[in-house]
Amino acid sequence: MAGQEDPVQREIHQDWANREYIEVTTSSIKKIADFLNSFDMSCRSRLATLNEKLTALERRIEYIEARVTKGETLT
Amino acid sequence: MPLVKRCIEPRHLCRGAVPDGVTSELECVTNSTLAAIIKQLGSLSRYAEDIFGDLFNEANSFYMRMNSLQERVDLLAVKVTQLDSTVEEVSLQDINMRKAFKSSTIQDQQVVSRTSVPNPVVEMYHRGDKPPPLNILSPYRDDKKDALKFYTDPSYFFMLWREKMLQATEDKRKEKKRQKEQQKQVEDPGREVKKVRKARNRRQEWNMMAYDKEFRPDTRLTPSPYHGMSSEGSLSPDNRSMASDMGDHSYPASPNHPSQPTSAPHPIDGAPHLTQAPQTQSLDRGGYPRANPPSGAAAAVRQIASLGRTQPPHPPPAQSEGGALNGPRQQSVKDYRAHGGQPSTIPEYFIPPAPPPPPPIIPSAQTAFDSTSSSSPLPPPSLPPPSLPPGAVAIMSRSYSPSPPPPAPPAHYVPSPSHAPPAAPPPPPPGLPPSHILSPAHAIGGSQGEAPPTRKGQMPMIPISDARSDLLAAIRRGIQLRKVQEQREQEAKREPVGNDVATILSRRIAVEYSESESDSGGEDNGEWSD
Repeated sequence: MAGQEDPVQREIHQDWANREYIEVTTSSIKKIADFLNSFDMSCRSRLATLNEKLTALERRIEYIEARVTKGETLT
Repeated sequence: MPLVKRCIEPRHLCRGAVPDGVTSELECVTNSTLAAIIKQLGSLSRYAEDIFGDLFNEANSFYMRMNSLQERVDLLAVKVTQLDSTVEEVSLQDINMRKAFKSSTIQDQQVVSRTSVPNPVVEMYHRGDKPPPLNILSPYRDDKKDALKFYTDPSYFFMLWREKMLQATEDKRKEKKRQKEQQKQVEDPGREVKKVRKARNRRQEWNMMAYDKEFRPDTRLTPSPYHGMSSEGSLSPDNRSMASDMGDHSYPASPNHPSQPTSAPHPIDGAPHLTQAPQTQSLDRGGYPRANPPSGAAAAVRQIASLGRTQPPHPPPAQSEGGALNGPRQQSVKDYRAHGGQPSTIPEYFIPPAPPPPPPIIPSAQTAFDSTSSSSPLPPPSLPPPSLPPGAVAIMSRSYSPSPPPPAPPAHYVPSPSHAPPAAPPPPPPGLPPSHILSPAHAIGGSQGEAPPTRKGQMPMIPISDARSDLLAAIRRGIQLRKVQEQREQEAKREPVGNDVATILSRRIAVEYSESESDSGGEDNGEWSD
């Protein structure tokens, strides 16, 4: 019995070890995936705020340019 | 349920079947699981690269915008330091005259469209089944539409909305026009007088056309060369004898000149008129074919009679004959000559039946004279768009023209007169329109293939009678031309619209605003007028 258990037990132990290793690996893969998603979302939100600020700046500069330049008259 | 944008591919790690003949199954499973993990890492890295790529592109665009902004700020800074309040002109007039500042409002369009789909979604889309390849059938369609569009059309709703919007804008424009016209009518009652005058002119035209060509008192014969040709070439000895029997010289001249809108009293030449009179008389003997021409001639005669009553006794017989013909068509011969009716009565009942007769006449005339009626390639451009009665006259005249010489000759000198009109004095134009009327009418009605040979064969034949068919043909072509022009206008209107939701909506709103402004302006105008 002990002789039979050893190789089987060893195999099972080995299998459990492998499975734990695989589990760690897959969980880290999931963490990477989560990180990528959250990074993507946060990056997009920051870029969107940047875009709004840029647009506001562009409009202000347009207005200032119109004020400063000697504009063309209607006639 | 949210759509999974990026799916890491080997979803289940250890569900693959264990191959047969393997002793250590656990290790086998472990190894396959590890292999799947590696595949998962591969897809993960692909998606990560995709994510970072999108973010990088967006950040890059912001970087470019930021750079341009920076340059503008630098320029502004330099400019501001150069400003000098003492030099700057400030006049009250300039303040108002300067162009108002308008910031550029760029509307984001097509935000969620096929082009802005992220890559992973595009890949997922392509993994799906494609629609059946119905597009291979599209070259066999008659209406040149995309065959696949009948199965699945992604742009269907947008096109529907666009058509609806364009239709709405056009309806509003038409309403505006109607309102403006109503306002104008209310404000200017004097304009109605003009319309009345035009109606009278038409009656006069119809009167002139009621006469047969021989009997018209108008003098359109003399100046036009084609006239001389028609009158002399078409004559036969019998006709000439008949012409001599006619007696009055001036009288037969008029009918040969079709209705002239601006007919003025012209000097009537005896010879040409005489030649034309017998021509019509010979036609009268034709019977049915003759029926149509006399009615047409009667109309012309009427017009001429009303315009220039140089020979009252002679015009009345022709006019009355023409008037009688308006009702029963085929009584022609006897009624045409025996009647001594009054020209005044003729226009009254000539005008109403005029519109219905032309359409029925056209097929009958066509069937009777398809060989003779040739397609004249020249629609008279100088011819003003004639009303229906002249067209009716043209039809009727056209029906009798083939019985004598076919209209081949008219086709030939239709070209020459068409060039002549701009340079010709007023008398020729009245003579020319008849030729134009006849040849185009023949062209439209008859088979074009047979026309050229018949035309050439009968060159010296009756050109005068073709004038009415020319007029009819011109009318038809005018209608056809208008349709084409309308189609082109519609297409042209649609072209500049573009496929932008923003432009379409802005046009509609602009139309609505202008309408509301015009309404309010109209009301104000009404108040002011009081």
